[in-house]
Amino acid sequence: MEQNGQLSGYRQHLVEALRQHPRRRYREEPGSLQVFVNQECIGTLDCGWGGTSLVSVSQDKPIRVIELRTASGVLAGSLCARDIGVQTARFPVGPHAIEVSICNQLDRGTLRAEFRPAVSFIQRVRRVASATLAAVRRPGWMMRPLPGIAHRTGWGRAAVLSQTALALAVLFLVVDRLADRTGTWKTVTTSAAEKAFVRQEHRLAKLVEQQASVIQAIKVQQRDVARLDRAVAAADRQSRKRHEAEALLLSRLSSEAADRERMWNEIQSLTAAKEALSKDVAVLESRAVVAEARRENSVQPFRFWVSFHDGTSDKSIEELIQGIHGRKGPVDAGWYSVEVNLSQPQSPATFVESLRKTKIVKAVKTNLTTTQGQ
Amino acid sequence: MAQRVDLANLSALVSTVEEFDRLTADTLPDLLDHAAGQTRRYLRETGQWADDIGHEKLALRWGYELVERFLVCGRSEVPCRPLFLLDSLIAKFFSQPNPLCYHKDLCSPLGRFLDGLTSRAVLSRDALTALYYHLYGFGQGGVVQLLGLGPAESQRVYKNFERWRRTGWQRAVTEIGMTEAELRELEIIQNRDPQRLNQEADRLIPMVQEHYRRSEPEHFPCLSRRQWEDLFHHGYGYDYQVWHLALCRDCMAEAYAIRLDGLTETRGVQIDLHLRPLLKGRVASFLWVQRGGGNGTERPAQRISTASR
Ligand SMILES: [Zn+2]
Repeated sequence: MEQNGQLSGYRQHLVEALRQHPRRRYREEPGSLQVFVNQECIGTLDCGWGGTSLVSVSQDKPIRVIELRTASGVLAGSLCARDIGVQTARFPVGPHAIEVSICNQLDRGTLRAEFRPAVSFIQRVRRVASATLAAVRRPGWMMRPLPGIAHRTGWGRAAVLSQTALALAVLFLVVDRLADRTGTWKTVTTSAAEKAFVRQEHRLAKLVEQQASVIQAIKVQQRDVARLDRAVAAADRQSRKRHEAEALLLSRLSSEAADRERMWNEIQSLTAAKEALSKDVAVLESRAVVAEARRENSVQPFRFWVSFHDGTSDKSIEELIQGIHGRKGPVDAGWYSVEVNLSQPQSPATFVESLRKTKIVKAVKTNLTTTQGQ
Repeated sequence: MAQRVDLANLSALVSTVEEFDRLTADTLPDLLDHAAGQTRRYLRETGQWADDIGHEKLALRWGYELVERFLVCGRSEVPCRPLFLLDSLIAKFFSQPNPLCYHKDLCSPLGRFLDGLTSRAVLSRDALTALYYHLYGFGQGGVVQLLGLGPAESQRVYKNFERWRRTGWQRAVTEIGMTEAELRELEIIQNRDPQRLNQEADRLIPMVQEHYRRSEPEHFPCLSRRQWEDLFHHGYGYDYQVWHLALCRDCMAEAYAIRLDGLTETRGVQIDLHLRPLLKGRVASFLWVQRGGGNGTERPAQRISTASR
């Protein structure tokens, strides 16, 4: 009774711990995060000092499952990897995040896990501003996506779009200025002006070229996004299929288990039946033994003398004696002495009677001295 | 009947993470019972079962661990049928060689304490560091000196001890299923005859450690005394040191012998079981030791499996 109470208390504690789990995951400082691959720890991510931290592993078997645990052991993230292909995921830990990418091949698995500490809004603005300034100062800045945000599809696309808008604005200004100049300088044709015009034309051509490549980049990105979408959809389908297959397997397994149980029950009942049967057999056997013993007790040895017709072969005589399970004694003047066991219903008289009816038998007597017992 | 309805819900297709979270939050007791039931079945079928409270608690504990994994991992598996996902997770777990650390002696309160603590140590750095205290009585200072840690790593060890003292230990014993009464009973035995409990722990610890050392195969091999000297001399492999020494008594004895000259806490590496976490007073006394010179090794420790930038 007390044990039942203890068990239900324990169960209640565990349910409560499971309930608290999401809250702990969001609230807790990660400390040093352990990275597990297929339940084996492959390294720790140092999350205490405010910088990023990276752990990577490459092994000669595919990665099945990865787990990330905070220093206190809270499971911050877990991912069941696909059998083949590349997979990425992002897990929040407190305000921070861990980015994970897995690449599985048939005989190889690679994992890269990176801890990214949270950045405050002011830090973020400052970082973007300085990155933009640095990029503007460099030649060819328009083609360069903003560092640190280009790898995220949404941000990357926004950056390219804003840069395209900027390029178009510059183009507009240049065209505008050119239109102005051609209007006022029509009459004044100097070589210097022509040179300037050619230079401007060059720049314009370059800008158009750049614009084309920007558009090209956008197209490529759009294609990538579409491909990614398709891949995600395919992966979803695949994972659904896998689950269904697993579910099927499981139901088969459980039905097999049920079958096994049924068979076991049958075997049990068969065994029980066999046991009962063997008991019966034993009883019968013991009865048979008793009967045999009784029969043996009731068996009477009976000795008689028999003579055969002339010309009867020894073989026929032997066969007859064997046929009646007789024990042969000495032969005296054509009389064969024979002893048989007679059991209960059989009497010496009936036995002699039946023996006399045998074809080769000439006469039977029960006493050697009585000359004719026929 | 109510449980059957919930399990039916869990077998239906869930198509968003929110739906998954909501459904699993509503059915936690059923999920736990289901996973514990499967664990019980596994133990039964492998001939590792007895009808007693120790075995029941073992089944519940592993059921809990499996559900915890399922709750986190399942979010990345949506769309899915939660119950099937849980079952496939359980099947995968039990298809590993020796998935559980099982020995019938480990179902006693002391066995459960040692097994639970060590299993926790594999998953939690706080618990791992705490093992040095629970098994040998080493405080933070002792651990820092034994491992020859630099300031940054030492700081981490203080944090491990602090978190363990504040919440980690209590949470761990609750999750192991140790009741206050069981702890008190062990303490009574310990007070009456400390050697008896230590000897029993001494007997159980090797089987527990051997099982859980598997969790880090890259680090599995024990090192020779020379290799340990080399490791300490060059100050690398911090992760390996802290992990392996906590889980290997033989290597711990080697390491202790090498470090002996530099230790202020020369308590030896005999098992000196501590059931409760290190109290705060010990932290203060350790800080004093640290200010008075620490371990003398001021180099930053490197980690062999981590590249920070
Ligand atoms: Zn060792």
